[in-house]
This record gives sequence, structure tokens and C-alpha cells, in this order.
Amino acid sequence: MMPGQVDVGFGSHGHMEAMRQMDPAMHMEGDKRAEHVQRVFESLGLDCEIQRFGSSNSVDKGLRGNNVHGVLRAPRSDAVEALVIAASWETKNGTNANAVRLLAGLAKYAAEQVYWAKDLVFLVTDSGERGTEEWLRAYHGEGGMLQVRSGLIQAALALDLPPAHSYGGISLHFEGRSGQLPNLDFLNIIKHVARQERLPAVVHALPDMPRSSSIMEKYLRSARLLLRQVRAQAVGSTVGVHAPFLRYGIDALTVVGMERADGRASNLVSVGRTVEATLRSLNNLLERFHQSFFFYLLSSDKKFISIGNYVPAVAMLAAALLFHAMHLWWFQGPDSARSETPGDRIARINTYHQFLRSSLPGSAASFVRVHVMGAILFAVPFVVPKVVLTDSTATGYVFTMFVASVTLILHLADSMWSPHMVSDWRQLKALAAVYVAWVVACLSVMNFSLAIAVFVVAGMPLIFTRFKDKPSRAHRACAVAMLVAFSPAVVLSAARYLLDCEMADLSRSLFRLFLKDYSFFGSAVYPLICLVYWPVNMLCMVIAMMP
Amino acid sequence: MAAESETRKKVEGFFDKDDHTNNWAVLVCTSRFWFNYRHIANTMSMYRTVKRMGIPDSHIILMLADDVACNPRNSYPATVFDHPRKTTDLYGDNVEVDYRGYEVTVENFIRLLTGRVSADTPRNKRLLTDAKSNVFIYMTGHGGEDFLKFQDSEEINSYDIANAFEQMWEKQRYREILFVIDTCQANTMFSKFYSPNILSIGSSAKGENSYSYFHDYDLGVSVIDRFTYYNLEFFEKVDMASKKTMEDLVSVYNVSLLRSHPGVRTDLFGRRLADTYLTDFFGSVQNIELTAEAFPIGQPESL
Repeated sequence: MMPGQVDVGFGSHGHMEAMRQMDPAMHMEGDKRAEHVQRVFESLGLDCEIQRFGSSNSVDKGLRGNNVHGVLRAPRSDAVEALVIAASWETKNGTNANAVRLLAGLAKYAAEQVYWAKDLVFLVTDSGERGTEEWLRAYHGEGGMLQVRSGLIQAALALDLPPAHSYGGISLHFEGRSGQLPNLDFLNIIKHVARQERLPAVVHALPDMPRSSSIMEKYLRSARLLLRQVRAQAVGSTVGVHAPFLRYGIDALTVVGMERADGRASNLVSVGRTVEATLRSLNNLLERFHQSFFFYLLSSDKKFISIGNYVPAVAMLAAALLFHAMHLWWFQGPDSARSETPGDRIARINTYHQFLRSSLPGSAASFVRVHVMGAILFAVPFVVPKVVLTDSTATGYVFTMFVASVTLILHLADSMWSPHMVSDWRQLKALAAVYVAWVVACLSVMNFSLAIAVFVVAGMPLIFTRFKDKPSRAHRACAVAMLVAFSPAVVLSAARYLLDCEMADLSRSLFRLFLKDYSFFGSAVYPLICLVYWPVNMLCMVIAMMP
Repeated sequence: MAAESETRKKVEGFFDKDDHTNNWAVLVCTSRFWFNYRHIANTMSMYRTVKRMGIPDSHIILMLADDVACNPRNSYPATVFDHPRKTTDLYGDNVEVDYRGYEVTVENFIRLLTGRVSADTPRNKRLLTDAKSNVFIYMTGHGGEDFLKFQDSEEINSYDIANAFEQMWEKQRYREILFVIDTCQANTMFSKFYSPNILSIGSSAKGENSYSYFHDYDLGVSVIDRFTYYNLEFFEKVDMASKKTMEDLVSVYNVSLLRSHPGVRTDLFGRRLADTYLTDFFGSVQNIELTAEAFPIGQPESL
């Protein structure tokens, strides 16, 4: 990739002039703004198109937007490969006009060069990730094809520059909606070229530690960095404009400008030069990224943990649940089934089978019941009109608690009305543990962080739910209190304060946010909450209440 | 009769002299891709040098695995430079590439050396050497211990080349070979040779890398390797009339400048380096013997 081995040329008077051409657009809205961007791009020699889109989805009806993109054709190459530089007018940092201006300057600069081996696509969207997703769909021919197209997109770089005159550094955000990651090489390239521009590049906006800081401070910073990554990977709701690209297998990341008033700060040109050097390096890419890691966790800006080192951790979590399940399964049923006296082996086996025959249907019924409840919760937003199910935070939770109570009552009624039914909490707990272990193991190969999160909210409470055959009232009360604390309602409320909540979307309930992520970006969090996490939580309550 | 036999003796003596009558050069760049610009530049520089020293295009087999001159990433289209100063365009307007792109394979290379080409191969893709040919073989690319990578997909090993040379010797396809290779661990590549009259020079010892020399910040790539650069620096000062010997060439190799230990293998070579003129391999200088009396050509009877 040869990063940083060329002289950069961005920053001439002409480039600044092109950036100023974009200025009138800042005071415009909607279609007029898009048309202005198109005019600027066309004056720079780009093939342009405006994509107007509107949502027909029941979850967010009425959202409309415009995407403008301009394609700079590689002068001496076939148009089979492309790089995308994207910016959204609105981001969670407020207006992103600086990035759009920079895009115009970069387009001007790029049009002057002869060495592009790939087309460059400059994309300006006015509704963030939604816009990018709509654009990518159209680019790949889903629901109407774009007229102005280029080749296969190999990498995408999104710019997010909050309004400022100077930037003290850049921050890299790279997680996708479902924990997808760009190749580690991409990050390394940007870090390398940014350093040459004296623009320190950090990950997830976590400021670098001074060299003199103690080992403990460095360790804490690493821990925070890892937690931020795990959070972003697991939840996938606070990512940037680059995220939709990753779903299409395109390596992408967002560069966020970090304001710094004190000390040495760089102006927009340094950011532009960093992007230029990055593009120049990406221009050397052959076919696609393949050299470096696709699965990693960064423990500092320069160090990473490879998948081979972190996956065993989650495998051990799943294994712990499985061993727990085996132990419970062995001790289930009446004591007579485990009698050690020699000679009554046949009787023992008979007792055991008798027990299994009469208890398994009950356990299976509990399993099915909680999942049906989960499925109802899952389906409600798609069936019930939006007006009924308002955006209020409480709706989802109230609804959740209501259904939860219904289930519990149903179950208790069950055991009262059919006294001949044999049941054993150990059996149910063993089955639930196997179930959670299975989900965690499956998730771990797709999204390590989400697997960890599922284990923490569903697996861990399950382990601590019940140990004794005849727990006291106090024990039961404690267990239920713990389960309520780990229930989706409480966890989602608490998580709101842990996530970056500056984004307009996040002021609403997380439940609705995940619902939107699922309905539009295909994020797995919402189905997991409805179909795994919440049913397991209810199952735990049942286990705690069982005789 | 006595005069006739003396004439015959003279004639035979002239042709019997164990000297070469023709020179050939096989210049091979085995690397693809833009970032291997320097390997193409190495080979093109050598091409320019042997041509300047007098070997005609018809006696040069140039194998280039990629075409950086026309690569879209080249900010100076249709040129190849070996120096950031960009004074000499190696691509020029008179370049004859005999094997290009995917034609540069291990199979084609060995077929070329051993002459086992198919009947429909054009003359420019054949090595039409004989027992009086001095052959200069230059190779560059990415290599390792006992192998040289071709095209990022296959490799030739040192045994392959050794056996190909032996076959050439058996088929009287050369008189002497100068084998020069610029790659990592280059000296391992000639360690397996066993045929006579081969002089080998490599850029680095086993376990060593061969490094690039100039980096061009316009092009964004390195443009030449150290070993080739220092060879060329020497050659730029000589021409086809030069009486410089191989000894002179080998003595300019400076380990601290090359950052590797170049290797010279002389045990198979019949002559002393100090007696071997550079032009024996790099120039196309024919032996001209001046006799005191006129030498009649034609029917012996007319004497």
C-alpha cells in the first residue's frame, strides 16, 4: 500500500477556491442544496447525479433526503474499481459543512492528477447513515439503479468535521452496524499518513497518553479503548457514515476531526492532505485489502489483539455454561434415580425415564411460551400503526413488563391446575444454559462483542438464578430482584447513559433505536433482545419461582 | 603446397582460438505490480547499458513481467526512470520487449535458455546462441533462499537454473555465461551451478535482503535497487572500447553502500577475472586480427 511515500499537493489557491464555491450551499435546504452541490461538482468536471429517496417503511415513514454524488473518472484506467469519499450534511457533531467543502477541494485537486487507477466517487448525503445506505442500495441495483455509476467500490472514507477553524487531531471510527470491521491496514494507512501531517490520529476519540504516564494509566486507557470498541461492535448504533459500506463488504471508516483550542492545531488543509495521502495509498490497492487482519480489537492506537487471542475467551464462557448444564442435568429428577445401591440398576433407569417423560413436556412448554411472547413483542412494531406505538420511552418497557407478568401468572396457574405434572428447576435451567451457550457460541464467530454482551445480560444472571432445591423466600426475592435488574427494560434504560447520546436518534428509547437499526440496516440487536435475551430473562424468573 | 598448408593453419588458427564470436544478453524482470517499479527499472537500465555497449536488439532477450510505463498509477505516463532526477527515460522510443506480462513464466524462461521452444516461436523469442556465444543473464525480482519468484504465482529454483545451464552446455549453446542476479539472498541462486565456464555474481548473501536505492516521491515508489545502481554507476564510465575487466567491476562493490554482501562465484569459470574484459559479456566486440599481409579469400587454387 506504500502509505506516505509520495509528496502531497493539496492546498493550492485553486483548491481553496473550489472549497469556497461550496459555501452558498450551507444556507440552503433540501433540493436546492443538492442542486448547488451538483453544480459545483459538475464545474469541477465530475459526472453527477442526484438521488432523491423517501422512506416507505412503517417504522420511519416520512423520512426524505437527497444524495449527490460525482464520479471522477480515472484518466488512464478502466472503470472497474472505485474509491468513495463521503460526507453527510448532518452528523452527531452538528453540521458537517467543513467536510462538504473539503470534498469540493479534494475533487478539484484530484481532477488535476493523472495517476488515478480507480474512479473516485464523491458522495454528499443529507441524512447520514440512512442516506448512505439508500445510495449504496441504488448503486448496487436494489430498487432502481443509479444512472451515473462506476466500478466495484474497494474502500470508502467518510469525513466528519465539526465546525472549527482548526483541528488538533483526527479520530477514527470503524465499526459497522453488526460489528463488521475494515481491514486493519486501512486504519494503519491513515494513522501513518496523519502522523506525517502532524495530525495525531487516535481511535474512538480517546486522547493519547503522554509518554510519561504510568503503567496503570496506560492500562486504564487500554481498558477504556477496548470497552468503547466492544460497545460499538455489540450495539452498532453510534457509528458513522461509513457503517453501511461495511455491510456491502467494502472496507470503510469515518475520520472525525477533533477540535483543540490550545497547543498546536492544524487547519483544514492538513486534514485534506491526510485524505489525499490516504487516497494515494488506496490507489495502489490491488483487487482488495488482504494483507492484514479483518478481526481485531485495538488495545492502544498502535497495538491490536488478534482474533486468535480473544475468541478463546468467549469460547470458555460458552463452555462454562455447558458444564453447568451437564452438572444440573445429572442431578435432576428424584433422588431414587441416582441411587448408588448395586442391583437396582433397572429400577433406577426406569425411574429416570419416567421422570424425563413426565417432566420434559413441561420444560418444553415453558420454553415455547417465553419465545412466543418474545415473537409477539418482536412483531408488534411492524403490525401496530406508528400512532399507537408512539416514540415515548416508556411504551416499550411498560409493554415488556406487562407481557412478562402475564407469562409468570400463566406459568404459576399452570403448576396449580395440573398437580400431576412433574417439574424440576434443574432440568429447565440446564436446558436454558445449553440454549444460551449455543447462542453465545454462534454469535462469537460473527460478532465477538455481541456474544460477550449476550453472555453478560443473559448467561450470567442465569448462572446465579438458583442453586438450592428449596430456597427461602428471601433467596427467591433476591433472585427475582437480580433478574429484574438484568431485564431488558432496566438494562436498556441504563445503557442509554452509557452510549453516546448526542445523536438525535438516541434521545428516544433504545428499544426503538434498535428496532430502526433492524428494520433498516438489518442489525441483529433487536431480534436478539426480543427472541433470545428477553425470553431467557423470563425463563430465569420462572426458574426462580419454581417449586 | 607448403604455402597452402600454412594458410590453412592460419585460418584454422584464427577460428580455433578459444574466443567468442557473438554476444547475447537475457534480461529478466520477474515481478509484477506497480510497487515493484524498481525491478522493471533495474532491468530497463541494464537493457540500456548492454545496448549502449553494442549488443543489438536482435541479440537481447528482454523479459518484463509488467508494464509500469503504461500503468495508470504512473504520474509520468509511458516513461520509466531509474533516478528521481528523471533525466534518462529508460523506456525511450526504441525498446524491444520480447517477453512481456504473463509471457514471463518459469517455463518460457527455461525453454528459452535450453532452446526447446515450439516451432512457431518467432526469432525474437529465441536464444539463437552457439558454442561461440558469450551469454549475459541478468535476473531481478523477489527471491529467497534458492528461489526467485515469477509473477507472484510461481518460482524458479536454483536447481532449475543449474540444470538448464547444464543442458545448454551439453547442447553447445554457450561458450561462457555471466550470471548476474539482484534479489534477496541472491547468492543462493547460483550455489547449485555445476556446468563449466559460468561466472556468477549475486547481490546478497544467504539470509540477507537486497535493498532499494532511490525513492521517488513523485511516483511514490522506489526506482532502483542498490546492487544494480552501483553496477550501473560503474558502467556509465565505460564504453565499448574499454579495457576494464571483471576484476575492476567486482572491486567497486562496497558492502556498506550495498548493505548486503555481494557474492562472486569463479570456481566454474576458466579464466581469471583480471583477464576477463567487461566487453566479453557486456559489449558486442568481435575479435579482429590484423595480419601483416593481405589474406586472400576464395579458391586456394587461385593462389
